[in-house]
Amino acid sequence: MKPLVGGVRVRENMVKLPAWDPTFVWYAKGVAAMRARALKDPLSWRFQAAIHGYAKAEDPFPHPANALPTAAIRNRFWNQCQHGSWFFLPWHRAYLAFLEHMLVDEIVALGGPNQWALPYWNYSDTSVANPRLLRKEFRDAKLPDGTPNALAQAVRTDSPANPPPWVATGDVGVTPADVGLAALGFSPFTSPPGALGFGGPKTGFHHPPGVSGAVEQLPHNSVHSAVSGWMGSFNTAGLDPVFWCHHANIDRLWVVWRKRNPAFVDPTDPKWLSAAGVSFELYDKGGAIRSFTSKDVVDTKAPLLGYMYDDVSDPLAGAGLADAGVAAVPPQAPETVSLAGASDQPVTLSRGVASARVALAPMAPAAALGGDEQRVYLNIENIVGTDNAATYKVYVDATPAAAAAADEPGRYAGLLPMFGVKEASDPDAQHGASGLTHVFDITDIVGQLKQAGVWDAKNLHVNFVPLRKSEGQPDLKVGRISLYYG
Amino acid sequence: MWTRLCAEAGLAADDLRPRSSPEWALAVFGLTAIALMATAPMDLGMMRLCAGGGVALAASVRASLATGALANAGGHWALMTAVMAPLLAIQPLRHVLFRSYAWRRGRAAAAFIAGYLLVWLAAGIVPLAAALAAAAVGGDTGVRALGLGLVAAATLWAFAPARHRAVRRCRRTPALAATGPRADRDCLAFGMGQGLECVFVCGPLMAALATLSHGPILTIATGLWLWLERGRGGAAAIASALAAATLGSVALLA
Repeated sequence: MKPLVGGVRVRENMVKLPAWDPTFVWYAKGVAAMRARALKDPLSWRFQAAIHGYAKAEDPFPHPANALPTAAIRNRFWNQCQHGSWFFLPWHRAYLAFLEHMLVDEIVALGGPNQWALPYWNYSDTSVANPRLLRKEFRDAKLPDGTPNALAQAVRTDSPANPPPWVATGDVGVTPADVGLAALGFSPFTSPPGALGFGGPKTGFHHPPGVSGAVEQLPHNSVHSAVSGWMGSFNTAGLDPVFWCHHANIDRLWVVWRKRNPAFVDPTDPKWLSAAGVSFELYDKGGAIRSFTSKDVVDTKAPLLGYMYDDVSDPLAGAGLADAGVAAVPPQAPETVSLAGASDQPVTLSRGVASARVALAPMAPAAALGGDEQRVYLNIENIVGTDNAATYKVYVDATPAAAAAADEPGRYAGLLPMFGVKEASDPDAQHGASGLTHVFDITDIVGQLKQAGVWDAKNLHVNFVPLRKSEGQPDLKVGRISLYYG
Repeated sequence: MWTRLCAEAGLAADDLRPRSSPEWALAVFGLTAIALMATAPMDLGMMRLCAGGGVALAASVRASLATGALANAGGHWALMTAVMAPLLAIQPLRHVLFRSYAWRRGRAAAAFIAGYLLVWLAAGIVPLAAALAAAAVGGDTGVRALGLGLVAAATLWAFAPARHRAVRRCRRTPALAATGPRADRDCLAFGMGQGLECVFVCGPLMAALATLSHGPILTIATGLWLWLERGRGGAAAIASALAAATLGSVALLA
């Protein structure tokens, strides 16, 4: 555990900490103390998790003695997490920091250190073996002093076994594909509809998911889908102590992104920065209501937040770029995009490979698609269903999947995690069952197909290969697949 | 770049230029409707449906037809719809345009708007029929009493969870086919679906205002409130109820 630096706590990479570092021990004790508080207490673990999302039907701790907060409190403070939005990063930054303050207070009250900081889970760290495995500090039932370990008290993966395999192995299903860092190459922070930016599209208050920015898509959504269990649902994710370590890493990637290229900057639009757009509210560690905007959280060392990361070096410096699929020179993002082609029918995603044909419209400038001046985006639109844990690899090719290699049917476009699909398909959600929409930048793929001489404007095939399969038959359906160019 | 792309595709530049911002067209449409509402030489609303009360419904209808009051009332409902539609339909219309090819956007927009307005215009039959019946029973006083009842109903309706859920469904952005008859059908169905959700959410308040006679300012104020309410996927029920009660009371006292 590092000392404070100028009064600012230092968040460390949990995959590099020694066994049972005090960071883990005090995290467990702090979580246990917050769990002991009543549900309606704003400083309780369950209340804080409900801020992210809460549905009574999914509450794993229902009890007749539970007193819910009043409807007014629930409407104002619960189900607030911002997803599919340019507010995804700033909202979660404040959410984590405010919880960190509460944990520090609990830890200090128990006699622990004031410099405790939330550790981050750097599952992409190539300097250690198996960074994607969950450490024993999140699996052992007891702390070194023999007391129950709150960090292990979570439902992870969807294994029906008791105990599930991850308790012994640490394998919670996170694959190398889930933790790619291609998002660090996207710019600008926000992009027009149909295109892809780093942080998410311009929206107002946006609770349920919709169209994710690059870093939200991967590794945020993919790790949620991989770990599944409580992490697999908006309404239970915050209950798992690993959720906060995962989001600390996502937050750290924001810092890394801004630092790695002087052209990578946060939005300057007043609608993002200030209450002219949206302001949010959270309870602080003293139980007072604090209002904030994105402007208040751009500097992690500011008094409102008070933390920094031990390592914000660029993981993609030098040779790492090509491996991550990141261009050395960031491509110029378009200001607007237009529809160039679309599938004819919805696509049902199953346990096997699914395929769809996308034909460019006769009048689309196919000759220019994939040129230096133009970006091409694949939009997987209106994905509905309930299987949050499912994940598919998406390939693009000129031939149908049946004619291509079974495991690599085409050029790899990216990963399609279904985290949030259930929430986005709920008719009572903020956008009434519109489902998820994912965007992939396939400019390079289009260029490769043209160079290989196999480009066919009437026959572009998009193939979905399951990375993670559910126990049952997935109920996922894609409304439309389209190509946008700009 | 656009000129070069178009030359390669053998098209005029306008065919490919992105045009997915309908604000200007909607603004012209709405302002025209406001101007008509403000200046048209017609008696507004349903207050003039019958010169006196205590007559049979059939007689009331005949009298209203003869005086032109029925036509005026229907025209007023249509104008109210036209004034509010730009504010309430702009978000779904943007979705239609963005999901359409550039050269079909006019057609897609027309299908959506046709579906939306069709539902709203048909919905006007209900308050009109109620007002005729009220006029037959009690004349102007009867219609006014109906308006008061509709204001109360709109206020109570604001607390209904079903209404709150419908506000969220107003923000749907469904999949739309890109070409062919399916595209036309999808845009029309989307417009009608939006219209139905809108009627479900706003219908009681609109019916109250239409019954009580008022000018364009109250119509615009109502449209602005409904647009703001929709902006965050719904407002607190008490805020919606207060808005309905306030707008209705202004119409009552006007």
